[in-house]
Amino acid sequence: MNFNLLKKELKFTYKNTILWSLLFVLFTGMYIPMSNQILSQSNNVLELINNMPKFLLESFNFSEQIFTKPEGIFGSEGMSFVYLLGAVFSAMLVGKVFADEYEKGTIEYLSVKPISRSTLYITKFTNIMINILFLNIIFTLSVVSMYAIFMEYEYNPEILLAFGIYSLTVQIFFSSISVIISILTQNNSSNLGISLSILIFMYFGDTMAKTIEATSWIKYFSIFNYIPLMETVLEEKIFWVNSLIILLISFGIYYFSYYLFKNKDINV
Amino acid sequence: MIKVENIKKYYGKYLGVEDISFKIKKGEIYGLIGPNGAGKTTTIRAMMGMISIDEGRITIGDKNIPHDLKHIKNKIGYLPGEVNFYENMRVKDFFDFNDRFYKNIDKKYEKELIDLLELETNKKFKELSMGNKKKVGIIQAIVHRPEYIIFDEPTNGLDPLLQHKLYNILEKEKERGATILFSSHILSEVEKICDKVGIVKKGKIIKESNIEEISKVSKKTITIYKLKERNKFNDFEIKEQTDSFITYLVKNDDLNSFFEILSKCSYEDIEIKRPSLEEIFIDYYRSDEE
Repeated sequence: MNFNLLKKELKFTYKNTILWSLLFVLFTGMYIPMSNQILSQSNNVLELINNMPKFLLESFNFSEQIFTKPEGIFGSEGMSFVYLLGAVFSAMLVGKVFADEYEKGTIEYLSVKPISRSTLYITKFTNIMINILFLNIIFTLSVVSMYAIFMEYEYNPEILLAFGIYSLTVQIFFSSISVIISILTQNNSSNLGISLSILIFMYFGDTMAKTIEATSWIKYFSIFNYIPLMETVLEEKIFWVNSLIILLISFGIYYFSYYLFKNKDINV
Repeated sequence: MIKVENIKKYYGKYLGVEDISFKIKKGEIYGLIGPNGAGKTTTIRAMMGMISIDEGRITIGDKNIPHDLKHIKNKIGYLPGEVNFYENMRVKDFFDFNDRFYKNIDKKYEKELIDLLELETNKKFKELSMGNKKKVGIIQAIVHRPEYIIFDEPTNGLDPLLQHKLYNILEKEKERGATILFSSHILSEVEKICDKVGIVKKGKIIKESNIEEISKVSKKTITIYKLKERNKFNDFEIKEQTDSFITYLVKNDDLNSFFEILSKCSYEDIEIKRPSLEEIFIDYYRSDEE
């Protein structure tokens, strides 16, 4: 690890991460008080839900039970946004840390300074982890405190921690995907394009797989299938092991990217 | 010493370099000259470990490149052909960032270089002109007093005054004992500062020589006005002729016989030009093609 480089890396990324953290805080700050209001008028909401097509309900993680649990409304709809926004944040962060260096040619400067490519990679990896961890700590604290402040109904705080873990898992997974794409394409537009395509395929593929029988195979290729929000809320079951396996796969991808980074030609 | 031996690099099916070999002794300035696309930058990038080579061997000091590159990087100063640094960083912050990669940077020397090149360090990199960006590149490459200096087309974008300053800097680095590789497609500048030259064509070094040797085997351009007995010079190559003058290209070795014949002829005026390295270069290219 090179602290000089880490300092520069953090300086280049911290503003964006703080802005994204604010976005997450604002989002939870608006969504959770709203959840409390919805719960207090749940009869009207349940009437509406009962009149909606089943396909639509499943597509948007709507169900009667979800709307009667305090963790349910945020855990279904709110967390879906958190997943999507978090994955976009990760892809953009990695784009800035890796792809931009290739695209703007600054990787040439770094590669000739007296640090090895391994140190360069590890330092950049550390920066990505610091930013993602920071965002997710802020997010988890925000969820826990918003529930504590605004939720008048009894809820399970462990589920809230699971939301934090799931969010972290999604972001680390998509950051690992973006790193490999950044190194292979050496271009930020390609990184964002491909990473977001994978996100859309995984997220909407998983939704589709749950509602259309013929496409049910897609769910096996989606990480969202293994950290299901509905089951987590309804059964109060936290998928720790699945999260851990996804994290291990992500670090495996990071390790493979490290090998690529060390050996691939730098073409600027 | 820098030693490049028979390196070969292909980008898929496209040629990068075919067969490049040269040696640069300590305290020597070596000019790698050739047109754009000849393979100069590929050679330099391979030396800096940025691209792998398919065949051959590169040694800087006693270290094999790229395997032992990390052990010698602090002794190398590199200026890329296209200078790309962090756009939003102020020049002074960039120098601080750069300096922290090295031990014991002499800030006084850095200040001297900044003053010599008249560089404004409060500006952000994106606000600098191409010439000023190059100045930043030059300073970051030599501020740690490297033993090996590798400059890829360093005078691109520099005005003549700055070019002259750069030549002086390199001369001083040479006196200090640095081993210098200097690539260019402008041969006149290589002529000014290099001890030895390698001419690159289509990925190969087609000629390697010191500047004096190159000049020796080259030809003089001799223009004679109102020469009457043109038929006596049939053995010499004609470059251009009109009714009023005729221009011959005469090999340095044939000068005596040329002037012996000329002394017996009548003419109004004579003009002798030392060929530029560009002309010598074209000669080498032509002879290689023949």
